[in-house]
Amino acid sequence: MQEPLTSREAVLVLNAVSGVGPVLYRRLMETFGSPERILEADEYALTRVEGVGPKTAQAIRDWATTFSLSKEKRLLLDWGAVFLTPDDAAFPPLLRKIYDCPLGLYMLGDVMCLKKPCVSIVGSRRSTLYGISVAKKLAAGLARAGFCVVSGMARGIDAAAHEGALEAGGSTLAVLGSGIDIVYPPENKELYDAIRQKGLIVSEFPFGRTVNRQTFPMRNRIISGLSEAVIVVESAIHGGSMITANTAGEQGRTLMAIPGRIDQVSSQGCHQLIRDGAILVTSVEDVLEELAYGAQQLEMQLPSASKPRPVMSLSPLEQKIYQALADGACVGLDALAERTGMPISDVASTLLLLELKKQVVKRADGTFEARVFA
Amino acid sequence: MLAKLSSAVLQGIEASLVDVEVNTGEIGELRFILVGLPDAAVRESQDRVFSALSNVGFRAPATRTTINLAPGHLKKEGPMYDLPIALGILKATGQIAFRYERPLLFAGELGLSGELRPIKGGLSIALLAKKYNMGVVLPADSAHEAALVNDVNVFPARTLDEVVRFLECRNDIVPLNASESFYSKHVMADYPIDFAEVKGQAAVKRAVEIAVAGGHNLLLIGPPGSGKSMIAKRIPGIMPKPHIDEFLEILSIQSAAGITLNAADRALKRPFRAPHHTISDVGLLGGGTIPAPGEISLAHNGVLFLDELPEFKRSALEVLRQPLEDGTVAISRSAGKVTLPSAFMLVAAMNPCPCGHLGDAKRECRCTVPQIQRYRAKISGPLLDRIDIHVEAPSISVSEIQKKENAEPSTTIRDRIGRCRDLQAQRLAHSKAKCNARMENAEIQQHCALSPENSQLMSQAMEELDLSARAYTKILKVARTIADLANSTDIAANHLLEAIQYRSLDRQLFY
Ligand SMILES: [Zn+2]
Repeated sequence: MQEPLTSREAVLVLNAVSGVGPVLYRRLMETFGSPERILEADEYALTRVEGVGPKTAQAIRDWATTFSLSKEKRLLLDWGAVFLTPDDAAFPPLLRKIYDCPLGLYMLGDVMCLKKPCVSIVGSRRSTLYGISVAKKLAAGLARAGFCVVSGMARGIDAAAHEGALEAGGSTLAVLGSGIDIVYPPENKELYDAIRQKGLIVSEFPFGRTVNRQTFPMRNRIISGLSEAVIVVESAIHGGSMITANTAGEQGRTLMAIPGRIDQVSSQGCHQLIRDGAILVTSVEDVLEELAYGAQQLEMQLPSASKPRPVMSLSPLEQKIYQALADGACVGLDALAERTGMPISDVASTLLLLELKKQVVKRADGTFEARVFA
Repeated sequence: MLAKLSSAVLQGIEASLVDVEVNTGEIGELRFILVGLPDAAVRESQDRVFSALSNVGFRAPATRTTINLAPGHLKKEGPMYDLPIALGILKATGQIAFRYERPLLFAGELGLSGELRPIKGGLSIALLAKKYNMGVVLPADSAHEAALVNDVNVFPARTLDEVVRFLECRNDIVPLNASESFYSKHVMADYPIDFAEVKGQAAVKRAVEIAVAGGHNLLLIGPPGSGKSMIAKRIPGIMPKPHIDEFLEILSIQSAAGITLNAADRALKRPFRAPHHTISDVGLLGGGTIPAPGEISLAHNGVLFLDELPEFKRSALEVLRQPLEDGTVAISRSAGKVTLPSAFMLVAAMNPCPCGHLGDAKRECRCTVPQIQRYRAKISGPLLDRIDIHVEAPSISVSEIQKKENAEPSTTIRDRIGRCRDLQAQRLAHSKAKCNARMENAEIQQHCALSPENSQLMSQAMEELDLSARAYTKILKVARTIADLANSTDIAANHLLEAIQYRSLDRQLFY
């Protein structure tokens, strides 16, 4: 005869049962009183709970056929990870209050990060250099001011936010849409390792679970749920960050957005949010003031106020092109030829030189963007 | 009585001699027997011929008659034997006597009232006639293409009656002169499709000019509405005027495919072919029981435009590889192999992303980075290996287009390209390659040498942009063409840098 399950073990099990989400779990708890009792209940008792069909009841009764508790516990040990439930004192208090609080969270890294107030920085996977630069600086500033910077470790803005916080020597927390052992996107392996070392990786999903269409919005509710404020740096009108922003609103979180160029699709979502009442943020001070954390000594400045990078040893042609890009716009060959009055051949060759000198990047849409900000 | 006339049979684009033998007055029941591997259209010849004969005032044979198309092992196709069969019957039945004494080839379809209709392969038949030092009698519409062949008398005829009177020397038919042919009229004069109408898109036009100048294949990347196909259609018009030999190749393929049967659009111009992405491999390469040219041969000496490149079946793109390399395509069939020319310029187009709106200022692209990368990776590999130049076409709005003034006309661009081609021809006088794109390794080493500084620059670019190794020689060849356009003996740094700029698809980009 097996030993009876502890409460934590029972939650680990229920968390892995398909069909049991936060809302259903709450109803089950209302009926049975503890996770262990849920697992002990017979099929009849289970199906009497609203929302539990025969399929889900079966899945709860036969959990052992799809989930190995001993293996999961061994993985937790091997990875040096913990599984916290809302009953644990260390469980993030803000998250505990949301309507669909996860059954529990797997955590890998420095759990002390959770002691700090959290602010999330999110944005588009496809970003501009401007967005990357803003996200990094904002993250660095907030990290220095004592915040833990939360994001989703996606490409683009998310990654820049984590990097900014890490480079400033501060705390950062990545919420994954997969198990904590899965790195997605794979190119962020280095970042994942760094966050694991110096920050915290968090997920509600069991080991080995891969990302899919559903796991990203689920992850997003945790990002905003953990945070006092959500800052959207760059997002198109239909970007995934708009969903996070929406969730943040429902959870009663302070929503902030960074303005961009009016002609840039990648900032139109932010402009929409500001129009709908999000707080327009141009500096770390704006964030601190809004959250009433009092002004602290910060060296950080946002690009809008910062000086452009010094442009060194550029030829007159290079200067001309660089200046035409200095307003931060993403511009194609044709438009650059018009802006400078230079023939296409010179524009094309000079841009390549500027790229080799790391002053300009070529974007997937065929436009060019200057590295205006350091 | 036996009558014998000469005609031809087409295999691919080559014609060979066929004897049309008509024997009348045979013993036996009244029948009309056709032998020598005729297809259905040839077999129906009897009805057209009899009807034409009676309408012109002659009689059909009143005895058993055998018609033999020799040699018997070659499949005979189409209605082109109507004319020689009709003449054979008239001769065998003694209704006419031939007074014209020089050897002649005959081909033509007969209408019920005796008028002659154009046939496929008129040009190839004239080439055959030249080989055997014969004259050729063709329907007037087909004579226009045949007349381009030097040193052969092409007699254009409108009706059976005209041919009969010509053979009886009662009436002369004046051979058609090359200069009178529709096809001698160069298209530029009043050709409505001109680059002057393409306003904006300066970068794409520059890339197109380089591509045509050096014979490079080209890939246009742009959202719908950026004018990719509008530009592609105008490319044949800036290619150098076809040399008569080149044009004869073009025309003989089109003629064999029956395209020249259509009287509209006859002019001295290079072909533009734009097959849909659902095309079959046979449609693209050519083939069939009686081998017909495919799109790649119809595009010979002109442009093959593949719009929506990633939508083409992988197999279709794979089969393009060898023709792109060789400039010819071998079609297998039961009776052996036929080789057709297929030296075309490949112009391909694709959207920048699956939804098409990446970089479009008006429409939001909702594709994810991996989706975009997967989409672009679809055309990697062998085909991309044969495309030297990639260029982005930005979307432009109608109002922007209207604001702009008229652009350079095609003739101006063509003249620059012509001068550039002349330079290449001189430099490559002793090579197999006629243009920069076709240079092989030894020639690249000889003609694309870089200074030590430029060599250094190239290595730096290869490394920092993460360019694939296969990009290296392409960049050198394109840089050579850019230098040629600038009339520069050496490849300068700016030539090299511009060439590197046209490698969007095999380098790291910022998303
Ligand atoms: Zn798209």
